[in-house]
Amino acid sequence: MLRLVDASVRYGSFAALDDVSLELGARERLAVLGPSGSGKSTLLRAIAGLQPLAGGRVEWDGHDLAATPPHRREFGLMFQDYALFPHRDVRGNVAFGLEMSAVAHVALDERVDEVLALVGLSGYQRRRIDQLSGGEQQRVALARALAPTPRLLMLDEPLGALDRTLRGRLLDELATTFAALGLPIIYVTHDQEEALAVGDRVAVMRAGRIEAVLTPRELWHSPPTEFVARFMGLDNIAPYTLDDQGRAVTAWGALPLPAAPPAERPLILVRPESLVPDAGGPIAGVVEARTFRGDHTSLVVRPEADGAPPLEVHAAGTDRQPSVGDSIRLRVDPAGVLFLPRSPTG
Amino acid sequence: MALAAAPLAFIGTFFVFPVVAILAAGLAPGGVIDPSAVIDVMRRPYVLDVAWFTLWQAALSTVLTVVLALPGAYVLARFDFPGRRLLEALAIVPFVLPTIVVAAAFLALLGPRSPFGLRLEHTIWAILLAHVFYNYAVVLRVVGGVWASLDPRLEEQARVLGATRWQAFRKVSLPLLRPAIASASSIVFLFTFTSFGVVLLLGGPRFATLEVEIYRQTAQLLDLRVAATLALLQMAALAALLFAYSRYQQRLSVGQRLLGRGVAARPVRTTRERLFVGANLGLIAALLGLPLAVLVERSLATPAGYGLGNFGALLGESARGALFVPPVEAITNSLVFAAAATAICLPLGLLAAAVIAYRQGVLANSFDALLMLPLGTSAVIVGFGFLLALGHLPIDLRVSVLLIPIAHALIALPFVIRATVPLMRSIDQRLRDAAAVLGASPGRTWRHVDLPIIGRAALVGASFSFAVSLGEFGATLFIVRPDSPTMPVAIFRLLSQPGPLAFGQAMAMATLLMVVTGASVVLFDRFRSPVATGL
Repeated sequence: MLRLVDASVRYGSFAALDDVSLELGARERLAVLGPSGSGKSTLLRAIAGLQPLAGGRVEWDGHDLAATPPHRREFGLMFQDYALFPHRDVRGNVAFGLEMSAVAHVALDERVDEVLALVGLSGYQRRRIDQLSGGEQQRVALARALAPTPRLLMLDEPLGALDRTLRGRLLDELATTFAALGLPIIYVTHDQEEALAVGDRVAVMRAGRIEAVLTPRELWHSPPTEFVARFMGLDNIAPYTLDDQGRAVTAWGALPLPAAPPAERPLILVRPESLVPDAGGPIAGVVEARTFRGDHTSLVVRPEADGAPPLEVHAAGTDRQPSVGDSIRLRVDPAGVLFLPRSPTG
Repeated sequence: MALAAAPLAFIGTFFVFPVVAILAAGLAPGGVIDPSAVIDVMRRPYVLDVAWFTLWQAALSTVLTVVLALPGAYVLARFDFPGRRLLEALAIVPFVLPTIVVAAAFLALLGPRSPFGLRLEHTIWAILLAHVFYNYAVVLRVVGGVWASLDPRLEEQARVLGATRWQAFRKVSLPLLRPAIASASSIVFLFTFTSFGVVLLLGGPRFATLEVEIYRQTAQLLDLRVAATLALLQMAALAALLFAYSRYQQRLSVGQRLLGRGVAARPVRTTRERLFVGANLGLIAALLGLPLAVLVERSLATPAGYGLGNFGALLGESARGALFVPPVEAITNSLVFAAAATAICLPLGLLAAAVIAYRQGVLANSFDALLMLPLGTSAVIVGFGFLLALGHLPIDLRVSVLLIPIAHALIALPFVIRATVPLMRSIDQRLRDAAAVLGASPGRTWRHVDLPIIGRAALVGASFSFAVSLGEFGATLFIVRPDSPTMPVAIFRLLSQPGPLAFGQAMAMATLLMVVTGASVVLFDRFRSPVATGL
């Protein structure tokens, strides 16, 4: 079992990883989500032993790994661009880890065939790396990481280098493969969709720290901080005060609330799908942009009130939507209102 | 292809014709082809001795250089530390120094007047050390360049898969570096196989490479037949080497994604890394810096203490009449010859580079290969060929003042072409199109797009041919007239004389030559990059 205790990595004076603590269950899949530069890759490198810690420790089953070099950790790591060995063919790449652990030749070939079958590349043994497509390279990299039966598998943006259509297909495949593997997995990505699809839990990273660890369901329905909410694409956030009728007074207008908000939550978040065009609604504004998105139409509405941030509205249905330049009023469906603590700046 | 006529005529007259003359002198000494003459010479035991020595000293020098320089290449490729760029630039200096300066520096360090009391002159160690000094930068640049662009995550991936540091290097980096190492080794082997000045001065009478023996047979024993046979042997060996190398290179190339230079370099972190980097920087300082420092120190040391006495003495008579003229005249000669060689070489080189850069196909490729031939033979062969052949031309060039500039231009030509072709190629047709679309007439397009780059190429070519001419020693020694020595020849003659005055004068002149060639190469390096053209 993997455990990180106050792990820190510094590049000069820059803290790439800042007091990160984390625990991973025996068969748990953890998605690490964050913008680029938030320390996701550094986290994997630190766990793999490729990056010395400036403080804290990485433990496996209660043993500190500080003195264990990368080649003794028995962790699998798949780099973003796969880092396949260009001078070796597919078999040579997949067999590398087995050669290092001095597996007998016959067993080695069997294992190579086995993992290649697992990733759907049977018969690719003699192919050269530069003859493979991006998706095939990704599978070879996965097979190579799995061949020596690691006790932990880490993947750094495994689908990052691929085009959109292929990503969707491989994401489903990966999720199925992971479920069959039954080993702990850390999956790093900057894509919310991937994180939600792959992780039992999702750790959101920000500036070298872990901002929150939560289930995909929690992440989607109730992001715990302003940063997480904005990273999930929820930008209708504003400070508010309560008036004597129990309404939240915001720059957009006074919004009726179903219940009193919890304490210490000075920000209000309105989900875009719970803003509904309604002639009697409390928010007045002008439509600035309109984008057809298939299952909904996305509107950007500039509220009339001075200094109020624009609102994103996901209007259901496709017919009779307001046009750019129209003045409209919006009402708020109380089910889509959340209250957030103020994020520490930084 | 009309542009190619002038360079072709030049190479034909001053390279192909002399080489044919050597072939004739060796194979057909009496006017008819007579292989028994060659066999007769080859049977002499010392010929085999010389060939064997040439081979093993070159092999040993190459192995030694690669083994010492590989860790240095790794340090420069993977670590970032203050002064890294400066070091990279300085490390190339030994490689461009004239052989005679290198020989003089090692004689100063290891010879009878060594400030450390080392006495290694006339031993194989002096030769090997000078060869390592000379070629360290070749391995550093060629291998280091490729190493810096290797993705460091390949090794990290190997580590995660269970490889120790050493296994990761041996199984991943080394195979990927092999083409670069082979390439660098071939260059080093070629240079040390044809080593002339270093062996002549540091080896003493006990050691001779084929080059040195050709010179001795010609200049001291006046046996042109033996010299011609040795020259044949030399050319055959070089041809075989180049052929084997080109076959090997084709087999080795591996397609891989390369990183930009310096991307993979990171700060030194652990004590172990600090020791490793420190040890290599120390080696570079001792190996490359010490001989040059001692050379300068010796040039400033006079019997009356430190001062500029040796430099002042260059204005007076040469010691023991080594030169027939005051040493300062050698400096004037060298500058005049270098200017003349540049004037000959530059137009030819730019013409040839333009043909190579803009034309494609078999004809352009063989033109390119033909012009590279002087590089693949050796300066001594060129000088020897001139001696044999140029009496047969309509004008007897052997007495002309142009003889030395022509020889220098011939030797510099391949360098000038190689340095300017990339610049010429950097003139992108799209730039001309863009200029035309923006309203520039063809004339103005040429002036604003082509001319600035050609101007830069000319500057690069000029500094290169000037530097090559200043330092040229092997060919010059054959054809120089006793009363008009060049700086390298003067240094050689002065070093052959006993006594402190001759030694001091030699050190002073070698220091001057080092400064001048070093400066022109630093200048050249700044202008060479097509990226730096400001386009």
